[in-house]
Amino acid sequence: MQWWCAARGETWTWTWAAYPGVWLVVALAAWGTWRLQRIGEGDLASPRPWWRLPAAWGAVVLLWLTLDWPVGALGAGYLASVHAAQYLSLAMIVPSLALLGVPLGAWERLARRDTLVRVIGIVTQPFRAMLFFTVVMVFSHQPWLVDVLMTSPLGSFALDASWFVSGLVFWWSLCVPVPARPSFVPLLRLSYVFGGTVAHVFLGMWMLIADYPIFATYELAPPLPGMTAVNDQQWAGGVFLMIGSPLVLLVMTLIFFRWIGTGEEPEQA
Amino acid sequence: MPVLIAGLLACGGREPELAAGRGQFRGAEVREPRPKPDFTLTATDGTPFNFRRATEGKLTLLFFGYTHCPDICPVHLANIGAVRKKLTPSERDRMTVVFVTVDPDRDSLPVIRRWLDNFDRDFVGLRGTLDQANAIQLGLDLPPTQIAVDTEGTVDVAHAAQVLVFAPDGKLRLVYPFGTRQDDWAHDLPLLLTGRWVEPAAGGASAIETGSETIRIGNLRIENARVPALRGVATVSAYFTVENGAAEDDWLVGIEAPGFAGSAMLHTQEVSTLGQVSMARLDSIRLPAQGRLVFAPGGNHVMLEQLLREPRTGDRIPLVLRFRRAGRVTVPALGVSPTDGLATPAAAPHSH
Repeated sequence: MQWWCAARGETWTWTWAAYPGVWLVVALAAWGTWRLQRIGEGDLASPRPWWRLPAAWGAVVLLWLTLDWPVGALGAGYLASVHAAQYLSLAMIVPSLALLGVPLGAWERLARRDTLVRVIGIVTQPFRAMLFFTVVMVFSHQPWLVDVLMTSPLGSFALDASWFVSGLVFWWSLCVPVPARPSFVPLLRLSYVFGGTVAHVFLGMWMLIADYPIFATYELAPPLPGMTAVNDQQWAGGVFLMIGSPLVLLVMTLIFFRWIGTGEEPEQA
Repeated sequence: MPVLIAGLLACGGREPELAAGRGQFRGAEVREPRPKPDFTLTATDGTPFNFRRATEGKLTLLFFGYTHCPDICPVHLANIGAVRKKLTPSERDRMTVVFVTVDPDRDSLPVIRRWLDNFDRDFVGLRGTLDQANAIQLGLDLPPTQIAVDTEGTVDVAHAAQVLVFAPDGKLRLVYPFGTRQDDWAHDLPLLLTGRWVEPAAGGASAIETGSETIRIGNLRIENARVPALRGVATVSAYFTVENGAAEDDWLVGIEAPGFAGSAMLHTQEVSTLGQVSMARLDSIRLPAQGRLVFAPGGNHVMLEQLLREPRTGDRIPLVLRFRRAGRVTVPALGVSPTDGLATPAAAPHSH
């Protein structure tokens, strides 16, 4: 039994497999979410938008679906397209939902911890966060690294964790009010989202047009019926371009309309 | 000007020279190229197929497998098929891929045909008896196929995992183990189709045997092969380390030391509870997936007997290792002083 999904080199079957490491992580995420919501309950003065709770628990459920069997196992050792979908989920959707799901009261408590806020401020400084997110995305899709890491549960875990952590760092400045960044105005936010995610397009194009499979893990895995290694890779490219890019566009649209709605002056940017 | 044009035309039309030892290929070069075997089996259209005659003058890829194979066979054939599709029609005409079933009980001719058509309609499928397939494999230094059926009726087929490549000159030149990627085939096939093989000069060695102390075959890495340079002994041990980078286990199933020892055996040293040390002969040793196996004093080692000469410091003694999946590889074991380099503690196989 593996504790985390990794490439096994065995023929794929639809027989359920247990991944205790995934359960532990999801249980910790669920406990953390519950705790944060409890903290938020005490703060009745703060506004409580309807989407906060669904976002928080949606992040936990999506985290579980992304990491556990069958998605986790298929992505770790059989299909590059599922691996790409896992990346989008772990680096873009789950962290942003998790951050949006934290009640305002919890952020206010965090704001009182000066040292922690200072550290978070340094780590999530937009230029630094954008660079970190891009570097993790580019490095974590290098064949020489993926093919080594995916063969062991620890390596596969490291890859998944790096995606999630880089996602948290990247989305922090957009979703979290602490630390306050008055100079991070909408025009900068739009540039930040675009700049931080533009590498996806190149990665997607690379997967789409490459003549031969890029990752040995998926090329040499026992094949799944009806899917060649190159087709699967093209689907992976499609996931980045057809799902990742619209997601980015959606975020940019939301920032734009919020900017228009609040009537911030462009020169404030 | 005509001289210049003639010169350019001559240059443009010259075939690249291929020679063992140049490291031009991604596949493992065969040290002593052997001629194409002469056998006749039944093709999927029901007609007899003489391998040597039917593939004469063509680049020929030969693979032994079975249609129920869940991993190695479909991956090899899918990769070759995918690259073959990208060759020009003329290149495709000068190349033949031949698949021989090692599971004739389940692989009927129509079953083989249907399965091969998934990869390439031009692939040739052949069927004979298992004994015939094994005789051909043994003649090519491949381990024979072993088929086991467990109590639940599950059939386990252990077969060689490498693709043998016969150049258009009719000689076995290269071996491609499991792990060969489309990119590797795309690199090597055009070269093999256009190149002209040149025999190495006398004493020349293949790419596998020169240069580095680390030898690779497929996902296996063999390093630090050494033999103590002992005087006046009838037997001597050889040691080395093998790392299996593949996601599957492999087995070391045979060993030889041609030109150095008349007999080579895999041995392990066992210590009883009373502290008595004894040697046990092993038929094969498992190399765990992602694992490392150390042959060292006090543990697994190769026992070389009937020595044809004494090992000397600095000698390069050829050890021919045969792996079930990765195939056959020649490793130069360095003659070392008995006190030098042999102190590595023995370690049992383990996984990372």
